[in-house]
Amino acid sequence: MTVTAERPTPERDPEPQGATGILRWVTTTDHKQIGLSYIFTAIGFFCMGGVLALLIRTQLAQPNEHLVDPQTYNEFFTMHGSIMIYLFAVPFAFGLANYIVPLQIGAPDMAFPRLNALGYWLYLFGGLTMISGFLTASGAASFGWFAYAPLSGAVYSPGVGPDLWIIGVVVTSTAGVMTAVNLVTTVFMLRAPGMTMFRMPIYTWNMLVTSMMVLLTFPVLTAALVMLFTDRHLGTHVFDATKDGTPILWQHMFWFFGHPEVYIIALPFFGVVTEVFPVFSRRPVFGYKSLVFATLAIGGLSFGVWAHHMFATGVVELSFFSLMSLLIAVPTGIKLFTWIGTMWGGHIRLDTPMLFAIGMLVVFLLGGLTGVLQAMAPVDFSLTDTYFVVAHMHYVIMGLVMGAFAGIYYWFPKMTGRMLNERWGKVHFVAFFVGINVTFFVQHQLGLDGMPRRVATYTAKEGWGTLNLISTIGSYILAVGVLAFLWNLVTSLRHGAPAGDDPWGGQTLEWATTSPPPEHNFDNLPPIRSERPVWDLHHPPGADDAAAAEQR
Amino acid sequence: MKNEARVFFAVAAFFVVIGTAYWLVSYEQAGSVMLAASAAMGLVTGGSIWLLARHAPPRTEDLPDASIADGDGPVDVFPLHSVWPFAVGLSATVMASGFAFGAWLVVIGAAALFLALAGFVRETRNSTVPGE
Repeated sequence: MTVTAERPTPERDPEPQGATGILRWVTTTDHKQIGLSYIFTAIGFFCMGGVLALLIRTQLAQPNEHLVDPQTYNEFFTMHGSIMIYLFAVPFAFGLANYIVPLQIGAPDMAFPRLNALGYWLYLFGGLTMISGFLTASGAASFGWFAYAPLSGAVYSPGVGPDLWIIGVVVTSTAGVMTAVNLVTTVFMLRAPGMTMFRMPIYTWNMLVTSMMVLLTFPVLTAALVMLFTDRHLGTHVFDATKDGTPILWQHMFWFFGHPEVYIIALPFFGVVTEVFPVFSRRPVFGYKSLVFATLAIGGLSFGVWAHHMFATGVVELSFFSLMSLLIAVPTGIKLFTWIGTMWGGHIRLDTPMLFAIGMLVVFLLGGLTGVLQAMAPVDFSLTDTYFVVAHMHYVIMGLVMGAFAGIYYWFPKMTGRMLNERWGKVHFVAFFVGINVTFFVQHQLGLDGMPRRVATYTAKEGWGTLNLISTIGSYILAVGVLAFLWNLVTSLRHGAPAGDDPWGGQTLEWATTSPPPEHNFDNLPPIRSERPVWDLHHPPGADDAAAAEQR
Repeated sequence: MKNEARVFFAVAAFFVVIGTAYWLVSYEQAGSVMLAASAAMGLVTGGSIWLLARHAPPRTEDLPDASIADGDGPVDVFPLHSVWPFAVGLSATVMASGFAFGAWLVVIGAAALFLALAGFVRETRNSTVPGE
């Protein structure tokens, strides 16, 4: 069944009656339903990864703890990282984009709706394949989420669990490529009249750049994984040093994907907070074009920094990668500057989305600063593979998770027609923000004290017990925050206050349609004359001056 | 559409510069090849969009003063429901996990994938824009 989407007109045909219930979910090609499927599935995987994290932290709470044996511990941290990176961060970002990008550019759907659905199913099935390793006799993969050769080879990691991990990542990364193609095509081909490239909302710009980065990096990862698989089963020796292979090639290929991946995760949520700051400061975004070019610069430079993960191998060009890693702080700094510039002098409203956006700014900045530190090779030599790195990367990623929550609180009313509860939202924010800092700040010191990452336990003699206990307590505070969020989500879905079309006073096109939007999104579109058409619609030229005169 | 092409050309230009610099300071092969391939990707995509843009009339979304009514008419054909994405996704995953469990599962998955793809393609062929 197909329809031909017309440009929006005030009248619309009665909605076609399709399948209902689970069949409707299985057969849908509507970008909004697919977006929601992505988001809910990703939140499910997030909770799974979170439970693993709690188990890890409980194991490390005190010296000589034996909650799980070392092999299980290895499986836990591997799957925690893999789930969070491959099955939560990227798919969540793409799910949000699936829902929001077509709305922001005034499109009736994504360019390839069925490819879009296929992407979701590959993600879901690939994810299930990956975690099904836990059900096999040999257990799940246990070589860390970056699967270094030769540890990930057949000799050191035999069994079917690692194979399922490889296959799962291949399948989900294929899904990622499909969604990226779809997003780029949608942004290029389905914009509404008057929506020029330089009027697109910053969030859409960020998703465009993210998608282009996915197109450049995911195929490299897939290629590396296929080589790893053939090494394990078909007798090739690509990464096998004993047969003239080069294990270091794995690291090059993995991090050529893996570092841009950090920004593939980051840019979508930079985009989210760039939508939130102007709306909750009642101001236009400060420095629109510099934000666009900073996004492009971050996207580009992130491809020149991959081997800073490999400084300690001793076979990479230190000066090149140090320089590039330091350089990337410049466009990121520009972004922070424009966010602060947007808030400066605005009428700031501290609703939950804004709280999370500000929280993201703080937490991500702390993570970014320790990143600049480690870009300097001599510092990295002493800190690599310690808890300092764990602290750094969790500060970065938890900053982005706060951005993700900002996006959920901001767009939930649009997606469901209901508001999330503000009080629970604030409980969530406080517990989450405090939890992040208690859990991860002390890990910097643990790293400086020499605690290596990925050890299943430690003895009392090392003196790491107190800080580890603090960190574990922090992780439980974090969990309380997530529980508050889940409770809020479940209750608000049913009983949330009605949101109306535009509860926040939004500026971009998604706030011009109903909440939730109808099939094919818009009954009518406002004229698009700037990067904030809905603001223009509600504040026609002259009206603000008249209001100001009246106040005087 | 030329701005869209320029975005990809910018990607290509960036990778040419950084790839050349990387090769000259390191003579390391893996990274240089990946950077060169990235430049090629930008060039190919940007080039094909540019060729399309050269022969196409200007689009309303590229005109800063276009009104919504200027874009009247069908945008595109959008399928509302299709079971084939689910079928393709499931059979492809079954085939892929066959590589872990045994060739028999690959065969089953491949057969199912073939049928699902056939359904997918037939559906595409049967959908037409009214009036075309």
